[in-house]
This record gives sequence, C-alpha cells and structure tokens, in this order.
Amino acid sequence: MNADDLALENLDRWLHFYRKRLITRREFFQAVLAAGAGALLREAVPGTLPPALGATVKDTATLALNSDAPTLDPHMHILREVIIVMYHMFNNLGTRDLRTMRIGPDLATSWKIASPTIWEMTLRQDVKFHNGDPFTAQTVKFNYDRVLDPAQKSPQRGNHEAIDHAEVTGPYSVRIITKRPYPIFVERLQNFQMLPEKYVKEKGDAYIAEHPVGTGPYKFSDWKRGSEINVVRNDDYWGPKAFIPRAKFRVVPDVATSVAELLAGNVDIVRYVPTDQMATVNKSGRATAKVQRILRVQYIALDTLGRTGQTPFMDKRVRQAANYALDADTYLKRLQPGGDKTPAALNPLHFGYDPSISPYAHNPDAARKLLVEAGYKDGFDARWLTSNLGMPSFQTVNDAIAQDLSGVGIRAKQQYIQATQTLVDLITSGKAGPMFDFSWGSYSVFDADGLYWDCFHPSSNLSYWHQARFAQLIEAARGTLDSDLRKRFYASAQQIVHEEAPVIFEWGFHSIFGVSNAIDWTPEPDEIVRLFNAKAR
Amino acid sequence: MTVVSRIARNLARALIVLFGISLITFVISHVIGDPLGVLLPLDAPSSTRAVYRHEMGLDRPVGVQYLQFVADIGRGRFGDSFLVKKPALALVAERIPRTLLLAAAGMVVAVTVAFPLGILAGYRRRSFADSASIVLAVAGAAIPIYWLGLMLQILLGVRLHWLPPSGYGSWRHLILPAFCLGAFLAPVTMRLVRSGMIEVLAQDYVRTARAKGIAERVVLTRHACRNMLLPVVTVLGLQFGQLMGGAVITETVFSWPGVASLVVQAIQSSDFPVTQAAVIILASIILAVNLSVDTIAGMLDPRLRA
Repeated sequence: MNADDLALENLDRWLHFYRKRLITRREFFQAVLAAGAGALLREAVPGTLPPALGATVKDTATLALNSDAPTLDPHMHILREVIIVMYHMFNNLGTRDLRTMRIGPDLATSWKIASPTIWEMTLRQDVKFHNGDPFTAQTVKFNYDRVLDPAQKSPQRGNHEAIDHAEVTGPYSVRIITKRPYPIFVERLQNFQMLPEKYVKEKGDAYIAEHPVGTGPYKFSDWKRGSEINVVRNDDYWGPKAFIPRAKFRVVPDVATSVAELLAGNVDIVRYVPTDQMATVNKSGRATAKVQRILRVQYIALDTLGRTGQTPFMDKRVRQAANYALDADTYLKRLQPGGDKTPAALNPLHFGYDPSISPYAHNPDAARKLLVEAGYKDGFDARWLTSNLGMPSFQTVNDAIAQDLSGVGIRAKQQYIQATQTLVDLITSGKAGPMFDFSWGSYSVFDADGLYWDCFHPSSNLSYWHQARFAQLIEAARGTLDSDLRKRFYASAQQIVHEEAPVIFEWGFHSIFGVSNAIDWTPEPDEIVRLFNAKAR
Repeated sequence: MTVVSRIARNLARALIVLFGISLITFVISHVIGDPLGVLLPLDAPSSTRAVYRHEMGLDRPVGVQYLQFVADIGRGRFGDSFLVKKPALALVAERIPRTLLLAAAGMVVAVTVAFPLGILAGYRRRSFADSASIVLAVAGAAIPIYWLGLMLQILLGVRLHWLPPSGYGSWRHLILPAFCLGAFLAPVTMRLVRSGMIEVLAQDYVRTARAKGIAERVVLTRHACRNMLLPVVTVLGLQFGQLMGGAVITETVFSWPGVASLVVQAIQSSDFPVTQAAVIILASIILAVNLSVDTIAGMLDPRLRA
C-alpha cells in the first residue's frame, strides 16, 4: 500500500469521526488540509517522475532554442542556433560525414582541384527545391554571387571572401575560382546553404526571410515569432528521409526553464544543461544528460602587446608562471563534465593538432621562481574580464583559477561582463587587457586555420600577440594545399604558441546536452543538432 | 478649473516626461554597445566598418543623432531593428498586446487574492486574517519572483503535469505566468487595501452609520469599501509600471513572447532601434494609464484634484 492509499484511508476515518460528532468541523478541515499538504509535498520531493501522460506515437521532435531566429534567410545571420534550423530546411554543397569527421558530398557529388586557385565541382542531378524549382549549376553560381555581393550586406561574406567568383561549366558542373590558394575551401562547404534563384528574385528578400524554401529533409511550415518554428518532413527528399514527421524549434530563453520543459516532456533536446543539473536530469527517468566533446576552445587571453597599457604579462616568464599556477587536471576532474587539454590553444579535433606537445604541469614553485626572476617577487594585481562564454559552470572554474593564481602572487580581480557582445567590443577595440576570457568555435572549421588565424594573426583585431615567425608559419600553411606540409607548419607554430604562452591555456569543452528518453539521438562534435537523424523510441 | 484644461495641463506634463525618457533611452543605448559588432562578422576590415557606420548615421555628432531621433519618433519612424530587418515599431507593436494580456491577468490574480484578504485584515484586526496578511506581506517582500516562477514551473508543470511549464498559445499557458505576476503584486495591493480599510473604518461617518443601526454588512460594503476603493484603485493604476518590471522576469522564465523579453534581448544585442521603440512605447502606455487614472479620480472625488 503506498502513501496515497494510506492518506485516503486516514481521511475516511476522519470523515467517520466527524459524522459521529467525535470531532469538530474545524478539526476535520485541519485533517483534510494536512492530508492535502502531505500529498503535495510528496509530489514535490525530488525523485522519479510519474510516467508521461498518455504515451502516444511520437510525431514531433522538439529542440529548445536560446533565442528566436532574427531571420530565416540563410545568408543573412551569424547565429549558431539559426545554422541548426537552416540545416533542416536547406542543404549545403558538402556536409560533414559524422564517422570520419571529414567533409563528404551533399548537393555536390565530387570536387577536385584543377589548379591552386581553381576548383571543379560536379553536382547532384535529382534535387528539387520544396517549391518544385530545380537545383542546377546556375543555382550554385547565384548563391555565391549573392553572398559575395557587397550590396547584399551578408554578414557571412567574410567567411567566403577568398572566393573570387563561380562559373557554370555545364548543367550540373561548376568551376569556382579563388583569389589565392584556399585550403579550407572544402571545410567552408558545410556551412553555406543553397537558395532557389527564381524564388528569391520573384519574392524579394523580405518575403523569403519569413518563408524559406530549400532542398532539405524538412519543409518550412510556420513561424510564430518569438515562440516557435515548425517544419514538416519533406517526403520527396532526394536523400534519406527524416524518421520523425515533424520538428519544432521552441524559443526558451531561460536555461532553467528549458530543463524544466525537458523534464516535463515538452522538449526533446536541450543544448545546454548546467553541470549541477545533470544528476537531476538523469534521475528523473524522463531524460538523460549526454556529454559530447565539441570544437569550442576557451582560454584566458593575456595582453602581451600592452594594447590596454603596460602590464607584467608582456614578459614571457610571467605568462609561463601563470600557466604553471593552474591545476587544470583537478578542474577538469572536479568542476567539469570533462574537457580536452589545449596546450597550444588548438583542440585535438582541429586538423593540424600536434599531440606530442604536453601542457604546462601544475607547478606553483616553478611559477613563483619565474615571477621572482622577472622581478615580481611580491606578485602584482591584474584586472580579469570574465563572461559566460559557454563553459559549463564557468564561474566556479574562474574562482578556482583566481585562487590558484593568487597562490603564486598573481592577484587577478574578476570583473564580470553580462553581454558577450560588450566583451567582444572591448577586445576588438584593444581595451580588454591585461586578462580576459575568450572562447572560439572556429565556425565549425575543424582546421587549425579556423582558430589560429582569427585569434593570433597580427591582422586580426582579436589578437593581443604578434610573433613574426608564427605569423609566417600560419600564412604559409594557409597558402598551400599540401596536407603534410601544412601539418609541419602547424606543428612548428604550436611549439611557438606553447613556449611563448600568449594566453593561459584552458581546454576544449565537453558540452552537456539534455536528451529526452522518448527519442534516440546522440550529439555531434560540430555543435549541430540534426533532428532528421533522431528516431522515436 | 475645468476638466478640459486640467486634462490639457496633465497632457503637457506627460509630454515633458516623455521627452525626458527619450533623452535618457537615447543616451543609455548609445553607451551600452556598438551595433556594428552585431551586424558585421568579427573580422570585418575597418573600411567595411566605416562604410556601415556612415550608412547608419553613427558617425554624425551625437546631438545631431538625437535631434534626428526625436524628429523620427514624432513621425512614428523608429528605424529598422539591427538584428531583424523589420521596422522596430512593428516588432514592438506585435508583442505589446501579449504583455498587456499578461499584465491584466496578473492584476486580476493580485486583486482576487489581495482584496478579500486586505478587507478582512483591516476589518478584523488581530485576527487570523490579519496574521495571514502580515505573512503575505513579508513573504512578498522576501521571495524573489524568479524563484517563485521556477518553483511554480517545477511543481505544477513538471511534477504534477497540470499546466504547461512555459510557452504561449492557449489559456492554459497564461495561468502560471499570470499567477506569478499576481503573486508579485499581491502583497503591495493587500497592504494598500488593509490600510485603506483601517483608515476608512475609523471615520466618523462609519460610526454614525453603525449608531443609526445599519446592518454591519451594509456598513462594510456601501460605506466603508466604496470609500476605500477610490484612492486604492488610483494607486493600483500607478502600480501598472511595477507590473512591467515584474513582467521582464516573468516573461523570461515562462518564455512568454511579450515586449518585456524583447527589450531584454534588444539590450543584450545592442539593438538600439528596438530598445528605444520599446521603452518609449511602454513609457507612453504607462503615462497614459497614469493620466487617465488621475483624471478619473479627480472627476469622482474633488479632493484629489491637483
């Protein structure tokens, strides 16, 4: 007999006593109230949830989004979450093969290099857009023209600016000419969606931003602005059809609310579960927390150039000391759901990563010795700009780091910045020194260039470090298509980065996804959620 | 002074307040961030930035920008949102009815809880109702609305499955956020009602009514409550601004797509036009509510006229 049955039996007894006038009406009400309160409290105590009401055949897979899409025009945004939505309604020329992590065919069936600046590409021939328009070589040319056109003002233009133009060489073949040898050409193919030319020209940008038409496994259904985006399965899809007939992208801005919705069964996938909620999610019986290593890397950048003003970090010994002070192994074990050490800022998932470089060990004595050598035997103070850049439980980690740094004499004072954009503005204008948090997802380009160029090349306004030999190495690596040569360049570059320590190295994230037990889906390292791969259980 | 001239004078005052608000929002939104960081990729060369800056008019002197801003508002042009290529005014107008619905529902909940309790507490001092009212007042001051919203979600949405934890679309989605907002407003309302009742019941005319032998129930309703209502409802109207503040948190926690959560998003992404449009529209609505409440109160009770 469970607690609820006992409670009901008790209530029966009280009712009997009341009828026999053995207790007053007031006492009876108190008994009822107590029983009710007891029942509610039992419900509220954490534990296994009751089974979901009315187990029906699952016909919709729901993903929680952090914010609404500003537009459904695939060329006119820069948000990770909108990329995810676009992947469902549109195709790209190439797509990542999730087993080998290399780019394989999607709308393009093959490509080869005709010369260092010319790529020849063959296209699929059986592809139609959701409105019936055919996909041809002319479509590809139109899309490249559109994104490269300065008048279009696409914020993605920078991603493709190495491309000069595209030429149609046959009904299903294209030639793409680049301004210089462009080794990450293939990587960039996986994030460039194809729009139908006639539709865009007839309806105009404003219309297609709210009524997207692509070639993807799902078709656009409707968009309740601020609330949700709905798509339905494309049954005429040229590739493997999605398993679940409908998909929904719900806007749930608050993290705690999204976890609540996951546990309530209204949302199937949540892209970020706080570390301290993992146990609750797993115990609920309704969902599971799945950890997945991703490309995103975080480090604490140091002002080696003195862009914000003179700082002890301009001395290499001080920077190395800061690295020796950290106890990254303990942080990863105790405060994180895992992480991949990045001894030269590169993630093991980046092409060119050299596994032979060992990270700075935890050695506070070496740190103090270096500081004394550099002339800071009493240590020094430093302002540290922090923000929530995607690391799970970042505040706890930052507090641990601050403590370890003070232990060797580097008294870092944290200053939290709420809006990431504000931090980015300070970084690009040179005012973020002497220390600031920084994370980089490399635009899903699994190549060292995707991080090294934007973060450390002298031409980037994100870089607070100039090293001539390093710059030469990555310029050379960018300018050749020979993989082995590139690996050697990057290996040398990583040695320099590790030795010069322009940043306090942290790690590549292990992201925590919350996945409902009603679907069968596993996360991928490129941070893209593919609902068309999800099956109902 | 006639009604018309009084209204005219209040209107003039409201316009001055609106100007002040427009100035403050303009100044603040230009301090919080650079919109070009939102629009352009991080590695955009400075030449591109310069072009965009000129096109958006961000390179003109700040004073000129402000004057242009005021002139545009006068014509109802708030510009296009930086994030979404739609007119800022349209985005705000789309969401305002949802927030107003939530505010109205919250007000209903607050009044339903607060009025009976406040009247009873004011009438029977040192009774159970009075103690309950003190508990409510203290709890209201102590419990953060964010926590309350979350607890409601977990209990009623996740554990008991009675209501959807968040979202927008049916009357069921309205209940939890309305209750949360109402709980936010109820303690203040209850204290107002209670003190209003206490004050009114101490009046001579109540004592006279009782002395005349009028039934206690009639004394309460026709004499006490009715006289208490007018100033209390006036203040409640002024609480409308408070409701907007509570709505910011409520809308975020319950994913309610209203104008308050739009403002938060706009501020976080340095979307000036939307921030300015939302703040000015909201300020106008609050001013309008205050103005009408003032005027109606003044018409009904000559002692309240300015």
